[in-house]
Amino acid sequence: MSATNTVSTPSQNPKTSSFTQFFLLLLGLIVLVAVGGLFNPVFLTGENGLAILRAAAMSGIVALGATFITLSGRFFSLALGSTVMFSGVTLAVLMSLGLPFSIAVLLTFAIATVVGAVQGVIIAMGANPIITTLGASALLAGLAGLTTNGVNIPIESELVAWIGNARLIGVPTQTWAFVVAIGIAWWVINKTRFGHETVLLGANSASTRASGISVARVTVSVFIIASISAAVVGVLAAAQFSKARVMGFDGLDFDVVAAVLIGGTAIQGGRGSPVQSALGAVVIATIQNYMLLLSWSQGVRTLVTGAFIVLIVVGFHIAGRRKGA
Amino acid sequence: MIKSLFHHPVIHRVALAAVIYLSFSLTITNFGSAGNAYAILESCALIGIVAAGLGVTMLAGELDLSVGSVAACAGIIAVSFSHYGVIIAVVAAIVPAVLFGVVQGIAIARLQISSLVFTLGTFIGVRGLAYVLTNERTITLALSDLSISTGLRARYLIFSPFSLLMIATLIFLGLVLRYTRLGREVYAIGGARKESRAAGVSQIRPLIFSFAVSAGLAALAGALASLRGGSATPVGYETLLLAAVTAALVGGVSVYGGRGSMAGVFIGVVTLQFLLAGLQLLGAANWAANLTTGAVLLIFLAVDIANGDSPVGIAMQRLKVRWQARRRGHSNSIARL
Repeated sequence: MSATNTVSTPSQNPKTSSFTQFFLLLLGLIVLVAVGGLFNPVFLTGENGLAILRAAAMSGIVALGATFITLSGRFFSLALGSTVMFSGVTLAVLMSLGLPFSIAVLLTFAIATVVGAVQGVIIAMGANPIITTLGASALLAGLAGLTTNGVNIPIESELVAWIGNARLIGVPTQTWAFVVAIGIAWWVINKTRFGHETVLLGANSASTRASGISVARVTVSVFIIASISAAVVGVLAAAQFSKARVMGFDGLDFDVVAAVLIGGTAIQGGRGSPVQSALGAVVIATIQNYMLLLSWSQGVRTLVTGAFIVLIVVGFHIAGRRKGA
Repeated sequence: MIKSLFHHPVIHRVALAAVIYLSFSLTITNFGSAGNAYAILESCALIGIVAAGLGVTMLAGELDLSVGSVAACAGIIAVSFSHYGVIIAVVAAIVPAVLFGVVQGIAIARLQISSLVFTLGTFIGVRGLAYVLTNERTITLALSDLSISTGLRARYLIFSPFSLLMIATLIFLGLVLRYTRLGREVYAIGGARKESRAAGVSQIRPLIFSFAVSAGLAALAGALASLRGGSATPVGYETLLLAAVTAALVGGVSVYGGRGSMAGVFIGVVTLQFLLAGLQLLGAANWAANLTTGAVLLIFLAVDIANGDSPVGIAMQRLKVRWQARRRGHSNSIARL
C-alpha cells in the first residue's frame, strides 16, 4: 500500500502543469484547424478529418508505445519503423505459408515481443539505446530483405482486406484501434504498478533501484510494449494495402519522436503521458495534412518536423532549468 | 613490454582484421588481389573520414547523429559548385558545415542538453534541408566537370587521392587528439566529466571542437564522395551513420567516452569493409550489407558494454580482479612450498 503511494508521488507534483500543457496542445490544435479551414475549405470536411485521424492512428499507436520508452528515461527507439515493416512482412510470410489469420497475428506479436525483449535486454545491460536500436533497425531491415528478397508480399484474404479498409459506424478500423490503444495506454500508465514504476524510473533511477524495483525488468518491458505497438501498426498497414511493403516506413520514426516531444513528454523521462503523445500525433498529422493540401514538398515537411523537434527540445529544456533554478 | 603490447585492444582488433582478410583471400577468388585492395580502400574512404569525426564526439562522451544528413547536404553543395573547381566546391561545402557544427556544439555545451536528443532533431531537420536545396531531385555533375570525378578515382598502387586523404585525416586527427591540449581535453571530458570539471578543464571548448570536427569531416567526406560519384541526391548517405558508428565501435572507440583512438577507427573501418567486400564478391544481395552491419554493431556493442562503465562491465572487471587475485594467491602458495 505504502509502496504504491510513494511510487505515484513523483507524477503527482507536475500533474497541474501537464494538464495545462495538454490543454495548450488541444487549444493549439483547434487554432490550427480553424486557421486551416479559413484558408482552405477542403481542410474542414469530415472526410479530410477522418483521413487525418487515420494517418494519425499509424504514427499515434507507435507513439503510444514509444512514450513508455521515453518515460522510463531511455530516450527513443530508432527501430520502430523497421519493426512496423518487419511485422507486416512476418504476417504476410506466415499467411503465405497457409496459416490462418489468427495464428499468424499471434505469431507476429510473439516475434515482435522477442525483438523488443532483445533490445531491452541489451539496453538494460547499459548500452546506449539510440545506438542499440539503430543496429537493431539495420538488422530487421536485413532480415526482412532475407525473407522477401526486397519485394512486397501480397496477402490474399478477405478478412485482412476487411480489417484494413472497413468502416465501423463510418470510422476506419485504424482509428478505432487508435482509440482502444489510447485507453489501454492510459490505464497502464496511470492505474498499474508497472506504469508507476516506469515513470519513477525515468524521474529518478537511483531511488527506483534503491526501492527494490528491478530496473532491468521495467526496461525490457517498455521495449516490448513499444515493439508490440509497432507490430499492431505493421499488421494494420499490411491489411490496408493487402500486402506487406518493405519500403516506406523510413519517416515513421521521426514522426513518432516528434509526436512524443510535441505531446510534452520530457526527454529525460519521468514526466508526460502516452495520451499526450497521441494528441501530439494528431497535431503532426494535421500539420502534415495541411502542408499536403498546400502542396508543400516532402522536404519542407521534413525540415519543419526537424526544426519543431529542436525548438521543442530546447524550449522545454530551458523552461525546465528555469523552474529548477 | 611485449606482453603489454599483446594486451593492447588495438592489437586484438588488428589481429581480427588480419584473420578476416586472410580467411577471405584464401576462400574467395580475387579477394586478395591488388585491385580489390584498391576497391576496399576506396569504399573505406567515405566511412573512414566520417567515422573519424563521429569518433571524436564519441571520445568526448557524446554522439553526433546528424553526420549522414550533413554529408548529404555537403554533397549537394559540392556538386552544384563543381564548375568553380574541386577545391572551391569542397571548401564551399565544408565552411557552412563547420559553422553548423560550432553552433550545434555551443548549443549542446551551453544548454547541457543530451547530444543524442539534440542531434536527432538536427538529423531530421538537415535532411529536410537537403530535400529543399535540391527540390527533391538528384543533381549531377556537368559533363565538362567529369574530370573531377575521374581525378578522385585515379589509382596509385592501391591508393586513390580520396583514400590517401582519409589516411592523412586519421593520422592528423590522431596526432591532434594525442598531443594537443584540446585533444587531451576531449579525452578528459569523455572519460571523466565531473573529475575534469573539478580539475578546471573547460567543458565547452572541447565539445565545440568535437562537434565542429564531426560536422566538418562529414561534409568533407560527403562532398568528395558525391563529386567522385558524379551526382548528389537528398536521400543519399542514409546508412552512413550506421556504418560510421559500427566502424568506430569495431575499432574500439567506446560509447561511454574517453576510450579509443584514430588508429582504432582505421582498423574498424577496414574490418567492416573486409566483411562487406567479401559478401559483395560472394554475390550477396544488397540487404546482406544491412544485416551484417547491424549484427556487427550489436556484437561490438556487447563487447563495449563488457569493457565499459555499465553495470555488466563493472561486474566483469570485479570478476577479473578477483580471478587475478586468486591466481596470484595460488602461485604465491606454490612458491612458498
